[in-house]
Amino acid sequence: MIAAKSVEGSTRYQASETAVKLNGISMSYRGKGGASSTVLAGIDLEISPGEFVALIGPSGCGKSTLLKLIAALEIPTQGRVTICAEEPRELARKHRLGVAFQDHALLPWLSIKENVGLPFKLARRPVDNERVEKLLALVGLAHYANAKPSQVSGGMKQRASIARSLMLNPSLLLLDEPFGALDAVTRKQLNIELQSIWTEQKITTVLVTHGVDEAIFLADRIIVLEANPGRIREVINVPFERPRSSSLMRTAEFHKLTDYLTELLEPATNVT
Amino acid sequence: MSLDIKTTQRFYAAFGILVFIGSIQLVGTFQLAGPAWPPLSTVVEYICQRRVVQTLLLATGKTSKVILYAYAVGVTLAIVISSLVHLFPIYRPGADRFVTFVNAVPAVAIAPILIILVGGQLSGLILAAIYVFFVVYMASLSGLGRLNTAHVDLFQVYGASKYQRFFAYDVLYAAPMILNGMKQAVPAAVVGAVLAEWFSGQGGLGLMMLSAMRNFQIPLLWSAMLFVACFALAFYGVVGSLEAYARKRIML
Ligand SMILES: Nc1ncnc2c1ncn2[C@@H]1O[C@H](COP(=O)(O)OP(=O)(O)OP(=O)(O)O)[C@@H](O)[C@H]1O
Ligand SMILES: [Mg+2]
Repeated sequence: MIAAKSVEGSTRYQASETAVKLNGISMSYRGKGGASSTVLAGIDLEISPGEFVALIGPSGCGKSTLLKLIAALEIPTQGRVTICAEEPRELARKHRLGVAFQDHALLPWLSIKENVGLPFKLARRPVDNERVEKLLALVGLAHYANAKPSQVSGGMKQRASIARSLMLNPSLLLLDEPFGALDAVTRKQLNIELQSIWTEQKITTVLVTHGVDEAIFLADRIIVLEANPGRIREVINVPFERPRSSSLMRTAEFHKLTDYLTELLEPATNVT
Repeated sequence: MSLDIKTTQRFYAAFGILVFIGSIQLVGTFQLAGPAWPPLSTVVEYICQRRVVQTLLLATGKTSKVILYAYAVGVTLAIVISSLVHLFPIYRPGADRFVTFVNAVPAVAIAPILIILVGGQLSGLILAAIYVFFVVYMASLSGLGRLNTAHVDLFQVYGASKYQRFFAYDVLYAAPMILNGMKQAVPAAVVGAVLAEWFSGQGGLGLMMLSAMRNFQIPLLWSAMLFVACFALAFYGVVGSLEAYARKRIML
């Protein structure tokens, strides 16, 4: 067995140590005519401070919904979300949350630079232009600072949204398929950047991804979800030491884990 | 055909206007609609008299003042009240019912009461303002109600207060729709103001039209109408280009 199945494993952290705690979460959306569809059912998950968790699973299994529950953008139909022992809304209120949405959500009338600096304004702080420039450079958008979102590509918008999510040094970072629209090379580069930011600051991170490689390369733990209704199918602890370099991706163990995960996802999905 | 779409559209627009003006002229020239429809050229000639143009401009000044005041009052109230309703949704049902009620009462019914209460000039302003208010209020509420959920989520996640979001996002995102409502309200303001002048027997172009009609001064009647139409068109054009600008800036 390559990975430890840790149904019990997640209880090794004490309650006060958890950054994110999902307790018996179920979520259903009420459709037309009162019929409700259950998207998530009975999710229990604890994430400790500084941990990097990847969520992986077939399209429509509720990954984005789970992220929205953590971000307090949705309220679970059942169960309880606790962030740092508080209501999930508190973190956003304190401007300690960073989110990169699946559809980037940049404001079309602001330049890339202004979009990326927006969290400062919303936190009623003066915009730290140095930091804006640094993060723009980090995601490779230094030359597009003054462009409007409509003038840059989809992948660039996603990168801007990542830069924005990191702007205020969040205590919790939620990334919803942030590298979805990127080519393999850029994606790998950004994975490495993200890892170094994460190693530096130990931000608790939840990453939704369809990329098995990406999940293994970045995460401490991979949560595999299954669909209809969304449940945790398996939790995999990633055994590789940090910092991980891209040469890790060429090792036999890495491939073994990749194959294992791919197989796990295969019957129900179209993961490529 | 190598003409691009824009040029073609402009051509058709110009062509349409020419056909319109031409038919007015023809109907007048051949007296197809009787003596009340003079040839356009006669009307233009009439306007070109110095004394006439002065009177017309004076009247236009008076009427346009009422139109602009009414428009400003209606638009301001509409935006303020729809914003409050948007920010405090508990008041929405009450506000909606009140607005619908006010709009449902026909102006013809309120006008006499208003004239007795506040006098002709002011009642004209109030009636026009009510028209404008209703159109802009509806547009503004529906614009503010159609925000992009991803953007709304963005502001919540980064801890923006309701008011921060309102000024940094809601108003801007809804601006094209609000301005569209403001554009639709221009004719309402003009009609309201002219009608009010008819009712009250005071004011500018509206009154001029009324007295010209009673005294069968056909060229004067047409001239006044032409001036009202030109003013309305120009006003419509200004607000319309503001809307186009906002749409371009905001809705990329
Ligand atoms: N606001 C909503 N109202 C109703 N149903 C919704 C809503 N949001 C999501 N759903 C439903 O919930 C299910 C899960 O959606 P979700 O976006 O969480 O999936 P996902 O795992 O992120 O998929 P993907 O990988 O394609 O992004 C889908 O079947 C979707 O139709
Ligand atoms: Mg999703």
